[in-house]
Amino acid sequence: MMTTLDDMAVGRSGRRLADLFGWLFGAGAFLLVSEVLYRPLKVFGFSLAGGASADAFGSFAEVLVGALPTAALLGAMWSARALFRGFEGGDVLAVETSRRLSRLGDWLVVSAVLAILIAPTAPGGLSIESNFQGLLADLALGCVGLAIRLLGRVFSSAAAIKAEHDQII
Amino acid sequence: MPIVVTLDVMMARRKMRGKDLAAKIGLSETNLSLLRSGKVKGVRFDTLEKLCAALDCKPGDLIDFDPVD
Repeated sequence: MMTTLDDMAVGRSGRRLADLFGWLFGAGAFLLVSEVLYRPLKVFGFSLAGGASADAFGSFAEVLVGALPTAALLGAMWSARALFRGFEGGDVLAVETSRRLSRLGDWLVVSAVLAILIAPTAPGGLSIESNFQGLLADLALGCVGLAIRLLGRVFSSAAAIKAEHDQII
Repeated sequence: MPIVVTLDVMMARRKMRGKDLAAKIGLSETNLSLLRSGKVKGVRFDTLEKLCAALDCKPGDLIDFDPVD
């Protein structure tokens, strides 16, 4: 297959976006551990050493469950990184691209669903108004995820058409 | 498929090698080989035009229809 100038431009943009998402993933993972998990993990460790293991495990599990939507968002960022890394070669309409796009949508949907399920029980006592805004944001995220999944299916069809087109000489 | 590519026959008649024909019409040797073996889904009109010009023949000399296949 010939590589055109457009393919090279797509490749360059893909590399830049892949780097950006890589950095975002790294920063997000660092913040998740340092701001959300580090202190509860420390408390959990000390509690285990003190003997109050059941309570400590319960509160630590609660923090872990609360962090699941963010972890799913990190998964989406990693999928986006893999997606744009795949663009580097300039081969955008490929089966692998559609698979990665669908996976990105899956992560977003999972994050939204987890946030909707977990948010009402999350500690911190959110007001009804902010809870409603959060719900709206989660619903929007879920819809974006579903749209990206659909786009993944469109890409899959496009890749099949391209494969057939490549067999016409 | 009942469509049979008879490009090989025409090339033999014109005593032209695949490498030379590929260079003459600007097609890769791989694609020409796929075309010769009939392992393609279709042929573009401009490719057909170039082949006919290079081999001094008509499209019917390059493809045939065999309902038995």
